[in-house]
Amino acid sequence: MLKGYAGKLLFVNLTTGEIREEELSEELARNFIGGYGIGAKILYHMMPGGADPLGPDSVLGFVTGPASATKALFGGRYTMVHKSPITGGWNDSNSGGYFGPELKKAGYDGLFISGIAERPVYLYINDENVEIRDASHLWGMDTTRVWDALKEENQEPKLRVTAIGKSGENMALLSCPINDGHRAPGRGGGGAVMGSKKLKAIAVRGRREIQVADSRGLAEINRNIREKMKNSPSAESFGSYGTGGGTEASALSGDSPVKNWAGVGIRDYGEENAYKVSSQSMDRYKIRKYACSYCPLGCGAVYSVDDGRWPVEETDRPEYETASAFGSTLLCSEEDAIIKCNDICNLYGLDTISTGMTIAWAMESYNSGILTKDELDGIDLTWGNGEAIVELTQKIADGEGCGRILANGSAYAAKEWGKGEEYLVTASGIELPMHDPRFAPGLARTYQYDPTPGRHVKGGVGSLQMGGSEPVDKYIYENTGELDVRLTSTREIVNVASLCIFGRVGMGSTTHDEFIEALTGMEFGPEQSFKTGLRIFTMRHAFNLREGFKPSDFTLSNRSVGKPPLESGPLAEVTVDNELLARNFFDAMGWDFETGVPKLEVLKELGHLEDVIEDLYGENRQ
Amino acid sequence: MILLKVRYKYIGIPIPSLNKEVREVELEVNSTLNDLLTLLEKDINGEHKSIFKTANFLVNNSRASRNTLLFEGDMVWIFTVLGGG
Repeated sequence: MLKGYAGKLLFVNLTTGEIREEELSEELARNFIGGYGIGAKILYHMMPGGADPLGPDSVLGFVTGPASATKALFGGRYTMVHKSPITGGWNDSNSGGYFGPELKKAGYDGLFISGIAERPVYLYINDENVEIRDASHLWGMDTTRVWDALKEENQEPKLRVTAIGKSGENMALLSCPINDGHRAPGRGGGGAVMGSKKLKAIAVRGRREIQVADSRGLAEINRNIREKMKNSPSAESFGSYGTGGGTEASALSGDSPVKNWAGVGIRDYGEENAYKVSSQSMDRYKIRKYACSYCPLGCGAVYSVDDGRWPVEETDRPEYETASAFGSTLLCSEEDAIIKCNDICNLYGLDTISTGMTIAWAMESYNSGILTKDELDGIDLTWGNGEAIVELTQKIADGEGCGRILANGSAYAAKEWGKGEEYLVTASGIELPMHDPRFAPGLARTYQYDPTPGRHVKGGVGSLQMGGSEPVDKYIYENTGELDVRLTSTREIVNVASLCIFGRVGMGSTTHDEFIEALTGMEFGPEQSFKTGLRIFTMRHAFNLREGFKPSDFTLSNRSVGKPPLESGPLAEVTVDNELLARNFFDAMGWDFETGVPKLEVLKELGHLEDVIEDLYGENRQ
Repeated sequence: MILLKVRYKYIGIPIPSLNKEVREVELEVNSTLNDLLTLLEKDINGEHKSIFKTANFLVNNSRASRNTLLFEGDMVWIFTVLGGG
């Protein structure tokens, strides 16, 4: 077996109570690395096509990668994988903190949960001791109290926990689990999947040491990263202000959405408001910073608000995505309201991006006279009204009144109420994150056609364009395919290795490959890396093809690509030609743009996709 | 030589000296944004000179590129944007 892995996968069936281990095969590790690479391969085989994402055949996975639980800097991520109850297709969402590394130290590279328990349960993993335990006493608790309660009742202060709150229990589509009290694989409805299984929490304690192939090589890579960080203003900024350090610039430059994606930051929101919701301003509430496992940056921080409308002893600093979703998107500059909404989302287990964006949809619908005050339970949801935003967030968290509908997202609410579709800003039904494709056009291709739609952490030319791409004009759409594919593959490897994308402040363009070589001992040069990234991307895509999706089924709201274009500001007159971007990408991938089916020779060249070839080209293909 | 005056400010640049204070500079007529950046780079320490490579710009609240011509009284915003989060 390769080094850098715990060497086992854990499978739990909550219907039958079966708990079993399997060896992680070297072939799987070598060709799919970890995270959603291994996750996609496993779920492709475990889940039948067309399975109800909230039914017993649905499988929920938590998968680490080779960097996890080692001394590799930035290696603290894990990925949650499942079929999304929002998009109906493949879903992965990753999270930092310590839960993933702890799972690996307990001996498992991945955990896959199927079935539905008869009553609320939690999964207890203490090294090789794995038990399904009653969680009736935890049902109804918020995510932080669950963590405290499980540490207390197990007399294990170092226990790491991921748990759903009330929103997940209600199977709200915006729900997600929260690990370590404040970190979340937030996107795609994973909390609803946990809730459907009556799985309140997973508690893990692990004590194993993960062996790596080349500890001296690993130390050298780490040294180089630290050296590069010494001279990096970005590293210093991240370390001080976290992701929220970029909130002000994003709101004014056109990167962040404003007024549900119909506004202009520099005109409608303004410099003063943009600064108020940045970490540079809100950090007056900061009482300490924190870091994820083996992270030299420490971009997290704890706030304390001891007076005002919503005092809270300790809560997490809002990330950029959160500050933007509840800030510029809603024209809200009341920082205490944003901190409160973030706190509610953490305690109840809600995706802050989708929650903020769903409120943005409701807000525009209300201010346009489409939604009535009665339909919003009397809430006066005027633009920027912090009190109203907090009240509605609490209703969504509780799933009460109009919150019962809005807790399932904006697309669900528009359908349920039969109006407001023109104000949706979604990709295949999930709300878009806080980076605007009109600012970085390549994001449109990523948001619409990545197998996990609507994600800012997936690869492509958009991520390059956000940082300015001069002298290449980012609004020229020809010949983007090869670069788009290459950057997509690179990000796949970073993600599945369980590395944090913010490691870029100290990592070079091939550091992730060097990490994999040092950790596992296998050769992982540029060609191998490129091919592996595309194989993993194709595996996720194959999951969607089996669900019956064609490229035309993947949608992106017109507003996000400038149809019609804004009339003024930094994004004036921009209309993104996403069809051309997508055709370029599909051509470079060797995929048919009408059916989405990869060419047979492309699949063969990538290798280790015999299952996909059989399903797409075999005698029994659908 | 005919000169023109333009104002500029930095937003979100993670170097303390490049703060939000509005500054003014004189440039030759027919200067572009790139000429302004070349001038400003002289004030930045060696290892940080690349900061403008990943920057975005507005001139008078409108999108601008390095080739944008500058005129008397123009206001230039220089941003860096963080991806992800």
